[in-house]
Amino acid sequence: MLGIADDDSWSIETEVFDGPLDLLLYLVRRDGVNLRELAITPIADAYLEYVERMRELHLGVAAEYLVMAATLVYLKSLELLPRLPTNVEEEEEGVDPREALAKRLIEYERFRVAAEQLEARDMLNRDVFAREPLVFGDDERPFATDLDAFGLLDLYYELLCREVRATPEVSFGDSGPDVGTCCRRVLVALGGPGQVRELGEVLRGFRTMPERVVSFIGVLEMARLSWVDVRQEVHLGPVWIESRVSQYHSLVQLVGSVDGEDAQEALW
Amino acid sequence: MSEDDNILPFPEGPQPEDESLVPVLEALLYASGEPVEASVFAQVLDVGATEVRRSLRLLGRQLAAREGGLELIEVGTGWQLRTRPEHARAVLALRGAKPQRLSKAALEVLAIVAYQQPVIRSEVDALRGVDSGAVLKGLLDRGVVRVVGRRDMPGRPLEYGTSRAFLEIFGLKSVDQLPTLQERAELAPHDE
Repeated sequence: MLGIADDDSWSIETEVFDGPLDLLLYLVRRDGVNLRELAITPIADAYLEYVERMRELHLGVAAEYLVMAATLVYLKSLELLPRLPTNVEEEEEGVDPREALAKRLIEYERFRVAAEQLEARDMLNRDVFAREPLVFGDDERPFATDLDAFGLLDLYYELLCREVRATPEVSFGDSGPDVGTCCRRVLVALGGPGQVRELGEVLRGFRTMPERVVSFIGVLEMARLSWVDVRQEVHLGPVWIESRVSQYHSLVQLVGSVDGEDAQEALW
Repeated sequence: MSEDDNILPFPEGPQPEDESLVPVLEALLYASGEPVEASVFAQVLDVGATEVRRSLRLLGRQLAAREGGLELIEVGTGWQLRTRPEHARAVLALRGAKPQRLSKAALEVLAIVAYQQPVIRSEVDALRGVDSGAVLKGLLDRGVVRVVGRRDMPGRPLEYGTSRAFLEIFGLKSVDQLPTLQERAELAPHDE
């Protein structure tokens, strides 16, 4: 029901393991297999067992896992079957498929370690914090320009014209979207204090015309109450919205109580 | 540290460092918030950029020696005051905010982009063995990764690289500051 793109969508890990290489590397490490002398059979068995377990748990095994399973079974068969006498051709084409897999894993692990080293650094807004620049009345910096009415008007028209889902023609006693609910959805989409997003983008998260109109009114109302800040970087530029409240959770409740519709909570 | 302001200047010893610019630079750093280039300070104060850089480094050492609330770092091409990591919890509590983290997948994609840039999506996918489109898009939306061009090959796929925001998030002067992958490959087996 929530039509607004989740701001955290970029940080969602879909599975316990993030792809077949991740799983394979885990198994290699768990079983203490040397990556450079990768013996396929035990790893292939462990991998297949794991994939099987994932299927039993209905985890929805992604195609990549199955491709890797097939590759491992093939490699295992190479290992089990007697080798043909080595010929010159093999030396030319050179690459043992097992070696190719080991190489891939080693390469992957290098970036894994690189990622861990990145994470170990002091990260801005996780470990270390900087202040926002001081803003003066006549500052030329981004965000200093006052919002002009035309920018807001353009945005409004754009909202009405673009990608609007048809409003259902028949409704059964539905009073339509209310300002409180829409405000709350905007605040949730903003995701917290100090978060800046393009207003158009936020409002386009609402799919139907009435929702967009009511949300637009809601944003104006919240701006009037200084709950959000609506600004433009440059004249005629994109319009930005920023949550101004430090405790947005309590605000979310506050907006709810304005309407006295606590049942709406379930929507979230 | 050796640059203690109480050391008396001995005629034969090294001259004490000129600290005259340090206080005003500290004030400017506080007021600017975001990273500012030394040349901007030089312009504002009407002194040489070399002098400004030397004073900034001195301020950085003083702050480090004091082990107070702030540290001065050089990030991208600019200088920025930041709270020291040991105060992270208190700062977050004050803001009533959650720490901004990156998922394991996002960090992996970011590492690949940082080291392999310019890189195209299929190369990221191949290295990770999994579709990384959504993660990459998230990083793009976030401004940590940016489009740097198009690869001259069929389909002209977009090439990605890291942005200034990437340097700011990880407190890096430039991507050259990242340790080489080679070192890492040797490190990796001993990690367990």
